[in-house]
Amino acid sequence: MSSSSSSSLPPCPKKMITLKSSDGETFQIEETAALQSKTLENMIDENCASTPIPLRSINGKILAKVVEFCNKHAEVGVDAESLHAWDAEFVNVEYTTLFDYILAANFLEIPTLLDLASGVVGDMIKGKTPDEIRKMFNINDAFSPEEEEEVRRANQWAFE
Amino acid sequence: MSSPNSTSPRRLHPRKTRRTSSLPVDLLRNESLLPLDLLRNVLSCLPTISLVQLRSVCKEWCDIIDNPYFAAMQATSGAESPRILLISRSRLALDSHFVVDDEFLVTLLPRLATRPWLNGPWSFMSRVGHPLRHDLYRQSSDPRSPLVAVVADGRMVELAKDGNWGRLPDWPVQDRARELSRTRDPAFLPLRAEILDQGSRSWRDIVSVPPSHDFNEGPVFAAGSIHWKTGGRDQVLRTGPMIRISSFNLTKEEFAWTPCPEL
Repeated sequence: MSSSSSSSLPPCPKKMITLKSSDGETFQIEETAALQSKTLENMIDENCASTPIPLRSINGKILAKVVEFCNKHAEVGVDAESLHAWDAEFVNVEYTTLFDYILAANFLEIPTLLDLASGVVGDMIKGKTPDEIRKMFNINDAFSPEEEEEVRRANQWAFE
Repeated sequence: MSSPNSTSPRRLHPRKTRRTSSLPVDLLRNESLLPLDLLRNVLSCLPTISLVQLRSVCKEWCDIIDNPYFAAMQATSGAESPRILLISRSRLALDSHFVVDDEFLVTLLPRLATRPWLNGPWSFMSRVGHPLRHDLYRQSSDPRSPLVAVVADGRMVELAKDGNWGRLPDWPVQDRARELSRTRDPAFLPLRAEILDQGSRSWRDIVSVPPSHDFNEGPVFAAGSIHWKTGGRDQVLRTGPMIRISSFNLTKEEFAWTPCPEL
């Protein structure tokens, strides 16, 4: 899926770079949009972006979303409020997908996406019990009931 | 149990049985869905009150949250700016009130049994009592003095101006305990209130002095203020009702009386 921006065409042709996902899908992204990723920016600066850039840790489904995010955030003339609403819709996904966004944003060094997804995961954590969180994060090395009681007792006031 | 309906390759595979720790650590590690540094990033967005509850999730989370560097990271994350209101009681600061204002959740910390430490190499004046770690001190009553934390194994760290915790020279735990048992402070400390803005990580004096020395009940958060039922008399008129409501407005950061309802 390649993205097409609806903004009016600038006079000079857009410089595009190509990203290749772990499962072999390729994505075209405008250089201006790609600059939100520090990792890609470095590659562009070092002239390493003329051939498709393999991203072995990001699959096609996630990379499509990341490209969509970068395109949206590179759009000119979007007011903060509607961008905020767009972001909220963008992260309205399963937490496993959010984890993938976080991993991809970390790899590509896209701080806006990293903070956005991390914040949403944080909000999800907030309303959950320790048990639910252990399921969510696949945590197996929980405290023994005695240890957990001990930890809780140390901060009893926070549970009242 | 609802299973995540995701096509992501990183989907969850909840175990049916809890694994024992005899498994190789690496194996367990690999299954955690976020690497440690990214998990730290997520947790640092959370307010203190949530972190305190999250300590019981597992040892690893507990270690992350208890780490002083993480505390500094969380305090400066700026996602929210929870505040701690400290009201020093008139004598010995024995009954200091700590109020955590965090997403409108107001909690009274347990009474602290520590008294000001005047002797010894560090002359600790007041115990600040960070909710995540019980041993946090300021070296003098001056709110601008550095914040010092005694971490679990007795080591001491100091919060530097850049927001990082730096290690202080060792001070054996035994010495600390001895100092504690023999020092007494007869000084009369006037009632004052300070607020710790965790965003800026500094203490500020509240200009308006708490109107009562007697916070009998509370605190209760309502309508933008923290309220206490107090038993103090009017300081000026020496009269007035015995029971009054003292309030601290969180927006204005001011103390004031709230009129009692007419019955």
